[in-house]
Amino acid sequence: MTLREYHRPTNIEEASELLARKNISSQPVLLGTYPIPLHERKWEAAIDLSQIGLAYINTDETDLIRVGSLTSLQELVNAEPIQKYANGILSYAAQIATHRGLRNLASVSGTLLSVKSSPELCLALMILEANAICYPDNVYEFPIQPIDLNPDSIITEIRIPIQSVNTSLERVSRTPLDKSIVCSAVALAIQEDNITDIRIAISGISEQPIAIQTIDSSIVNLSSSKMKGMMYEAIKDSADHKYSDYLGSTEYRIEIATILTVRAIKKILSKQ
Amino acid sequence: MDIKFNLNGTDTTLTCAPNESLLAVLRRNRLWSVKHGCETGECGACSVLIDGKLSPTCVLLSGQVQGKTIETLEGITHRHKLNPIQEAFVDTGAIQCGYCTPAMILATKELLDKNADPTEHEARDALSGVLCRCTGYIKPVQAVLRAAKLIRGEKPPPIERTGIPVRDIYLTDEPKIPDFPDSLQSSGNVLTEPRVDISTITTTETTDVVGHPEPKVDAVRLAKGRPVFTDDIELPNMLHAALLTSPHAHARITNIDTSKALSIPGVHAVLTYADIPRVIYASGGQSYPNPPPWDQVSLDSKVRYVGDRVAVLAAETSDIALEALKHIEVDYEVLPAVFEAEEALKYDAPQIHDEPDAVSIASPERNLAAEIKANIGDLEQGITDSDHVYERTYKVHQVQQGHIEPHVVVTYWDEEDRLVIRSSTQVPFHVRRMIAPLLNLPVKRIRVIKPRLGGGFGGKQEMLIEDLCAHLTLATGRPVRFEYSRELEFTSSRSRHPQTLTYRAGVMNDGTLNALDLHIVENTGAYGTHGLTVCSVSGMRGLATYRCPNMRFLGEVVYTNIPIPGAYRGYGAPQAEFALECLMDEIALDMKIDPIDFRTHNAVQEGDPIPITGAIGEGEAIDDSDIEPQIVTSCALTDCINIGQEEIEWSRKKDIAWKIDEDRPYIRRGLGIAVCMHGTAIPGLDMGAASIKINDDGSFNVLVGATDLGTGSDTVLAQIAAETLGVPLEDILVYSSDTDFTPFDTGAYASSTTFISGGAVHKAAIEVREQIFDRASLMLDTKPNDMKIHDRHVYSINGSSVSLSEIALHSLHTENQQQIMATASHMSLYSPPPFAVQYAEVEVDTETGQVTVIKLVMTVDCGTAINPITSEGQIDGGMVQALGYAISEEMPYDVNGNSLVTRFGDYRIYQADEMPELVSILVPSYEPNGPYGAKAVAEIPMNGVAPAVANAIYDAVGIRARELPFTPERIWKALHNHNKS
Repeated sequence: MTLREYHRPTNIEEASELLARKNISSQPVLLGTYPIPLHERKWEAAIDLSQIGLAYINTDETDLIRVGSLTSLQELVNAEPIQKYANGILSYAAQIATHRGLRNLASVSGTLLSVKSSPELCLALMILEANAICYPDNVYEFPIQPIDLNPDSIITEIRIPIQSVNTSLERVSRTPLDKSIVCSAVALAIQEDNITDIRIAISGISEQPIAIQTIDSSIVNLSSSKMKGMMYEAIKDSADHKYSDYLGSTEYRIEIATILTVRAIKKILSKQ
Repeated sequence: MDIKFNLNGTDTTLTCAPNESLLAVLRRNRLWSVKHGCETGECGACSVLIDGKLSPTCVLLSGQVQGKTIETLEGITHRHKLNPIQEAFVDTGAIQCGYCTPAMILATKELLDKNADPTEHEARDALSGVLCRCTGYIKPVQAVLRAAKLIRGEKPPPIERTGIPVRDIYLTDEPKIPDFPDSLQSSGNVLTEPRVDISTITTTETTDVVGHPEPKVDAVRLAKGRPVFTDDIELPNMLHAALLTSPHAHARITNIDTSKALSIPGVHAVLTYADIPRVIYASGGQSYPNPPPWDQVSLDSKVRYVGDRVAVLAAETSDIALEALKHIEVDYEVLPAVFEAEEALKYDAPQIHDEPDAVSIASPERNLAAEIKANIGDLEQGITDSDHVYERTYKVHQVQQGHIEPHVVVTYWDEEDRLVIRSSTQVPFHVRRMIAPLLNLPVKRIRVIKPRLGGGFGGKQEMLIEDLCAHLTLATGRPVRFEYSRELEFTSSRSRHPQTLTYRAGVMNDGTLNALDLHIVENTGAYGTHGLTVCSVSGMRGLATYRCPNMRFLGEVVYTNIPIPGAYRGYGAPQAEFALECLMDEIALDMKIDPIDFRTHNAVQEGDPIPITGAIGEGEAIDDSDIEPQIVTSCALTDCINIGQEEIEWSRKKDIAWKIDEDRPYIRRGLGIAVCMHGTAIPGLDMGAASIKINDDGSFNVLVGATDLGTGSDTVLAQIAAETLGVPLEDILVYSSDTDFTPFDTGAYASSTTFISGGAVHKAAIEVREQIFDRASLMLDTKPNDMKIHDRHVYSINGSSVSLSEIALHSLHTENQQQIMATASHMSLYSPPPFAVQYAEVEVDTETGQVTVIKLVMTVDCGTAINPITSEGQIDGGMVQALGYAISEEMPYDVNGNSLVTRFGDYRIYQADEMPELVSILVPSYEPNGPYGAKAVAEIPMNGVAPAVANAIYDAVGIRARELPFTPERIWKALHNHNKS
């Protein structure tokens, strides 16, 4: 299938209409951290969203950070409010997602739609309880799979509620900045110095990142061995037991996810 | 569609197809500094600045830059001067092959435009978007920081002259490059005999060029992004080739129909096995006659791995060519496949080579491509007599050279109907000879031109795609360009041989090695190519470093259905030295001997023979009465050990507090060592030649067949010529290599160029100098033997002088006219070993198994470093390739033999921003057989990192990692097993 049309719509409605056409295979031009070679892409019309104004970071509101879906990863790295919020986990996640050149090009939505190579940003957004806003009118939780979206849907914005949370992100990889084999992100919600909630998101134990929802905040009061035991069971229950590759077996991934998650919790607690 | 943007300061409108990448559009418009390295944005070689931001262009559609501002290297380059960033890259030696240099310079510009005072961390982050396979990033980072100083208006410090103080160590008057002096021939291969005395070199003179960190002779053109590489050319009517590869690991082609592909407009030829003559050959770029087995044909009716050749075609554009591939219809009879060498040797394994016309396969029924046996002394008796016996098995894996410039070739008929092959090859002369019978053309009708290489590392010591491209030119009569995609590099190129190495060692109570037995089973994939010679080098390197009276080697080279391994920097040594240096550690620790003491007690020293070199030749076992073993004629191993020990702070091994991290209790630290030894060229086989001629102004053309693949060998050869001819480096114009215009050279491999080609340049320069003296004696009326050449002048003993330009004009125009010129060849029966010691500091995460290398120190005795900066660069870059070999790089397959890694991102070459600290130290020695005392440096940095890291892991956590790479799960499992036991 050869690309034969290139469109630069100037508003979201026009973009959506172009994507909705039935007689031609259309896709938005989105770059993530794991680009598919151009000659392998199966599309006939490319819809360039760059004229719509979706690249921004808005921190004007007291309870919400808005990140335009075409904001580049490098802009997330550079933005001071992002660096300061929630221990800078979003900024860090963007930084380690890929190298400088691709960070300049890769958009937030492009990255979130191809999480297998660099799931850290998605994990961070999951534990921050962020949502993706899509045109026309859907709201999605993370992770988002391309198949979840209607053909004419366009992710326009990521909304990150501002909360009192401490976070940590732990990963294992071949080299320090290689894609993670397993990665665990943890957020502890704090109210008046009390831990009121724990949120855990893990990649590398299934095709898509997974939120571990069976663990509550009381786990922080357990001994290391009990915490590890409970975490192991929860992760084992959530994991895809067929998920493995040359970088890690299922057994390894579940075990390491447990270790990294406990490590992340302890790291947060040690800084409380 | 039309795209409007600002290109290098000029508003530009270009017409593009919607599917055209920005990379293609820019190169189509002759912005040659924008390089193709991959199709996934992961190597960054194609990066430009878009609105001031570094951006890989291979993943961008041209339409995406509408209204933007684009800067390429051409846009920031002045014709006659360098900008501060370019100047810094040239001065620091940050440019090796130069293929990634344009992108690195732009990455630096992006950073410095916003921040003129960056930290090293920021410099590394800026460079992280550009993979460099040559430099190890040290010198590029130095270049960024130096450029920042220049931009800030500060005076940068002078370039550190960290090289050896060559000015005082040798005599330069006369050549000292004998082929094999009598004094060394009497030594047998029995190690208990007294060592040969090595004569000391008298020192009376100093050098002006040799031993100095001169900028590379090609650095300026590379810093300017000039069109110097194979693909930087545009020929009228050029067609583009594409290759159809096998989807099956083992199959017969029962039917192939190309008619639909041929009917596509723009397709000019489709070739299959039915269209070209069947000529058996071996594709490894080696001297005549190519070592066996000869088991390949250009296109066959049987495929033997996923990625094997099926058909090749030529079309008007790359897009048409790729589309046409989909329309070639092939029916396969799929055959059982085998991927592990040990499995392939079994009696019921599928036979991979059953063709009747293959030549010299050791045992096709057993899938045994070749077998090598060698004996020194009496191994079994030695084992019996030993106080301690150890048997250990090690496994090493398949990795890719990963040169950023893919294989690329352009073929065309010239005006005399001679076939020109413009190729990114390390072996232009071998290619010319080897391709002639495949094309049914005489050698004299073929010309091979080697432009600049964007890295090779052995991957281009192969006639990989030249034959297919040439067949298409023969078929169409038109120029054809054929370039591999990155995916093809992974599936259909060459790689390092996986091996299983089993050692048996007998050791006496006092720590003396008494017997050493090495059995290697090597997986050579679907074809033999370099399989035999790599395995023989493994045997040689695995049994050379330590004195031992009883040794035995058995090498079995086995066919399987994996993509073909070939030559890769180190050529069998990294495999063998991983096993050997792990074994040495294991023995020492078991016998409670300090590992360094154990090594120094047994290591060969200056004057020692190396018996195994008399028992294993180039690709074969030889009668040890025929060939004398090599002698160690220079060795600074002890200094290497001591200097490195200090740099790595070896005493920390005993410091428990250092080994444990209080803040991260799951971390353990360790230090490891590995001794390395390599060869310098293939003795009695490698030959290089050089021609030197004087020009009217007293400058010299140096024509060499040697192939600079980014190592800086053109510079080193020029330095040797300049030193000998008494001129500055800028007066030497090096041209390499073109089979029509330069003399023969075997090519760039086996760490031979400085030693062999340098020897030829040295000889030719001496001969030219003699002619200059003769002419000067005529002009000055004095005797030629009373003269010195220096500072562009010839001085007589009575104080009179004449300039080289006056001599040139006199000889070319005035009296007894003569072109002062000479051609010389050099080969050597010596292969003087360089030595090195590799130290590694690691952290092991005891819970996850992740190994993080914190620091690597390599001390290298390469004799005289003709150019310390390029020598250091070789070590820096080699260590990083070796680090990838140890930690991250691998080529896994699924159960059907499909490669699971087809892109850089999955393969994982270290980036600039995740590197350990690297320290490269040149330790001086003087090699009497090398030009100006030089021996090799290019390959030895590959050999030590993996075993040093393995030994450091043991030091940290007490587990013995005997299989590469040290991926987290592999170490984690070993930790678990260790804890259980």
